Amino acid sequence: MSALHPTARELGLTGCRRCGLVVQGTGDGFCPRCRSALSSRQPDSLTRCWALLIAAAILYVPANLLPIMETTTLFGTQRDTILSGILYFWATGSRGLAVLIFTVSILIPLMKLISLAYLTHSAAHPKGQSIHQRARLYRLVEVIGRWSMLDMFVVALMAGLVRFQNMGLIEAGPGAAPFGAVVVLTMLAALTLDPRLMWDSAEDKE
Amino acid sequence: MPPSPSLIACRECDSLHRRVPLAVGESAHCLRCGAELYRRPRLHPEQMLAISLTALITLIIANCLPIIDMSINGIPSSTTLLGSILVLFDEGRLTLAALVLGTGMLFPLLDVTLMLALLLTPGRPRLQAPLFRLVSALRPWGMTEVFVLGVLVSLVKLSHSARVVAGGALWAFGLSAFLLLVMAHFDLRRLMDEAQ
Repeated sequence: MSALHPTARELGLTGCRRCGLVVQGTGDGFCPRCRSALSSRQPDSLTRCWALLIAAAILYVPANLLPIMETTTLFGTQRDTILSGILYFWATGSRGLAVLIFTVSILIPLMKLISLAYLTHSAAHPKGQSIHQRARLYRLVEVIGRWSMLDMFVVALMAGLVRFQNMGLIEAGPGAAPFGAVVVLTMLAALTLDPRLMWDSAEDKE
Repeated sequence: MPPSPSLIACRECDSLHRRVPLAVGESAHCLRCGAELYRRPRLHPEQMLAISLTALITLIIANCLPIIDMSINGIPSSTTLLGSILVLFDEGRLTLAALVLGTGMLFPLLDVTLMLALLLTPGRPRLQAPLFRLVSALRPWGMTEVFVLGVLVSLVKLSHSARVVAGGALWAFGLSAFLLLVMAHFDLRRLMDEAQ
C-alpha cells in the first residue's frame, strides 16, 4: 500500500477512465454516467497487449521487405520498399525528407514495438527501473504512434494521382497492408496496456 | 454504486485525489505520476460549437476539392481524397483503402459531427453519454494532421518528375487539422461533469 498516494482501488473505488467519474466498488461493470465499460484494472491487459505486439512484430517483417509502391513507366516497373524510397530521397538531395520518413516509418514503429514490449514486461516483472521514466516512455509511445501513417497517405495520394497511360502509373504495393496493420496493431496495443498496472507493481519500490 | 463527484482517480496510476476548483486555462495534475487529471478549458462550450462548425465546413470543403494538381508533358492529373481511396479499392488494395478512408476521411468527419451533437445537447445526459463515448473512442483514430504532412511529402516527391501545384484542399485540410487540434485540447470530460 502506498501510504502517500492511496489508489482508488485501495480505497474500494473505481475511476472511469473515459469520463473520470469515481464509483464505489472495484468490480467490473459499466460507468453509471457515460456507460463505458468500467474496471478497476483492464482485464487481461498484459496478455492482450502481448498478443497485439507479437502480431505487429510478425507483420513488421513483410511491411519492410515487400514493396509498398510500384512505379510503371515505358522502361519497366520499379518496386520500392520503405527503405529504398528513403534512399531515393537521400540520393536526390531531399535529405531532410529522407530523415523524416526514416523516423516515422522505420524508427517509430520499431521503437514502439520495443518500448511496449519493455513496458508490458516490466509491468509484470518490475526490476527497479524508474517508474517515472517508464511513465514518460508510455506517454511518448501514445503520442507519436499515429505519425507512422504518413507513408500510407503518401502512397495513397501517389496512386491516386499518377495514372498516365504511357508515361507512368503508380500503384500501392503488397507491403502497404502489413505496414498499415503494424501501425494499427501497435496503436491498439498502447490503448490496451493499462498503465495502472505499471504503477501497481512499482508501489513497493517507492 | 453511488458515485462520488468530488473525487478524481488518475487515469494512469489510479491515485485518488479530491477535486479542487480551477481558474480558466488551468489544469490539475496527479501528485504521484504527474499525468493531467482534468482541466478548465479557456474556451466556452459555445465557442467550441463555433469552432466545431467551422471545422465541419472546412473538412467538407477539403474533401471536395482536389488535393494536388500535377501535369507531365502537358497532360494534367488531379485527385481528391475520395478519388485516391477509390483508386486503391479498384486496385484491390482493400486494407490500405479502408485505412485511409477511416483515418483520413471518416473518423475526422464523424469526430466533428458528433462533437457538434454533443455541444448542442446540454442537459440531455441520456443523449450525451453515447455521444461522449463515441467521440472519445474515435478521437485517436482521426489523423488529419498526419495526412496534411503526407500531402506535403507527396508534393516534394512529385516535384522531381512533374509540375505540381498544391490544390485548394491542402489549405482546407491544414485549417481543419488546426481546428481539430483546438478541439482535442478541449477537455470533453468537463461537459460530462457539468451535465450532472
